[in-house]
Amino acid sequence: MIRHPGQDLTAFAEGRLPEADERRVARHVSGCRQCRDDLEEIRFGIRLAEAIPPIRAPGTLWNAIERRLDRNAWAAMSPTRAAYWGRAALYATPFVLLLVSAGVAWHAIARPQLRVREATPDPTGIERAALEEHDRRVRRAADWDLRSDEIARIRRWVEETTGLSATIPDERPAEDRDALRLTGARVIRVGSARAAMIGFDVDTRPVTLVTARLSDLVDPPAEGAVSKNITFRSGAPGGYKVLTWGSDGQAYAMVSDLPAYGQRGCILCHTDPDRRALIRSMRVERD
Amino acid sequence: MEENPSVDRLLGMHAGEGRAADPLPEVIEACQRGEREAFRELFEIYKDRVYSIARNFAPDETVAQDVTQEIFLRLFSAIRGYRGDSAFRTWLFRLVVNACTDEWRRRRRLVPLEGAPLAEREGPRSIESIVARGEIAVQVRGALAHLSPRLRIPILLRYVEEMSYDEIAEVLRCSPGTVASRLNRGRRDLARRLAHLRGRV
Repeated sequence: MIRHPGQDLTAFAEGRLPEADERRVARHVSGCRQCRDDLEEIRFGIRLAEAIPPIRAPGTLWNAIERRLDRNAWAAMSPTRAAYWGRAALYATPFVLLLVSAGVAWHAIARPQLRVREATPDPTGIERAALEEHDRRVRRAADWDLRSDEIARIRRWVEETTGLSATIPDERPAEDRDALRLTGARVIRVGSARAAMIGFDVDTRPVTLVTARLSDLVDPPAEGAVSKNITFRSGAPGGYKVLTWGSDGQAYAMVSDLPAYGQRGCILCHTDPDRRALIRSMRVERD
Repeated sequence: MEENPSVDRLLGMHAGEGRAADPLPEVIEACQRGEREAFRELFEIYKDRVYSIARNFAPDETVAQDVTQEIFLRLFSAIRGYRGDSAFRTWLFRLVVNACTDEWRRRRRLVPLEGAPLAEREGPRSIESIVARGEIAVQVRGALAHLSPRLRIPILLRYVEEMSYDEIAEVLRCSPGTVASRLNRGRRDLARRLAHLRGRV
């Protein structure tokens, strides 16, 4: 009975056999048509695998990683510094507890409310841009640069394409599962400023967020020293509601036809239950 | 791919050692102390290798970048736990394999839409045009995308990362015999899918 080399054929094709075995397999292959065909098939597979090219990583990759490292600075902190801050946190605990108790007491006495101002009669550039983009979405004429419902992908795309920050958390409360869905993003212009539009749905209704650098805008919203200085506009064309604010060097305008002031759209970036409760309490302060 | 001389220095490479060498221990120790510059150095050493594997598990470049970022962030956070029990490269590629497998699981349902190989999306073309345009690599990557991670990973580690059977076995925590068997099945699958390229490769 002829004994075919079996597994040794692959090792033979790859030159991994000891010399004696290599000679034995070579002798067999020269006289066995079936093994010759088999060997050719193996060699063809090897040549194909060898054709898989290494791929060069894009040059922008480190910048993106560094931004995320900065965001996770605490996690990336050296053990010595972490230990220092750990001790500091331990000493600070009684004071923090005291402050928290005071806060709880204050909350019980005077429930905090988020007060916003009414917008000036003339819409600013970023408001107009957000209204136009939103109208296009409602008419299903939106022109997306990136169509995706993945938070991380949209966030990174916006950050890498425009250099603007898009702090949309990946980890979402369970209640968001059926309530929030991202649609896509697009680079737009507000005057001469480069801006990003992020489209998403809240409770199946479209919400459009436009952001640009405050310093790039001709008529930027005022950036509050402590608060975000939110303004609210109603009665815009289409009956849309516009919330506008400035924060961390960026201006934002959010358009929707959601109930009340459209503040439910803020769930995109705010996942903390207390913060959400505060946002729900939004009231317009009239002069 | 061009090798950066400073990368060779960091790898502590000597002539003939090729890609198998690990980075200098000082670089790893500096990373363990949380030094940003050392992270950067480690990134420069491995960025193309990690991205090459990630790109073969992602439907497009954006997702491949996301996966690569995720791998390096995991690496920078886990490196403090690296004790040198195994070669650094083996340890790193275990992270890479886990991240890519996670990504594959997450996207499994989307693959028929997003991950369809370029060649299939473009429709049939003549062998001459494929060969003439130097697109064999594209065809191979398209066929590779159909392989399960069990077969795809050993092929990438072997032919892109140039690992030995023993190293692959260490990364995958299996026997070299299992590696040989998976490589064999993977290559045969590629040969079957790309039979039209026989005699051209």
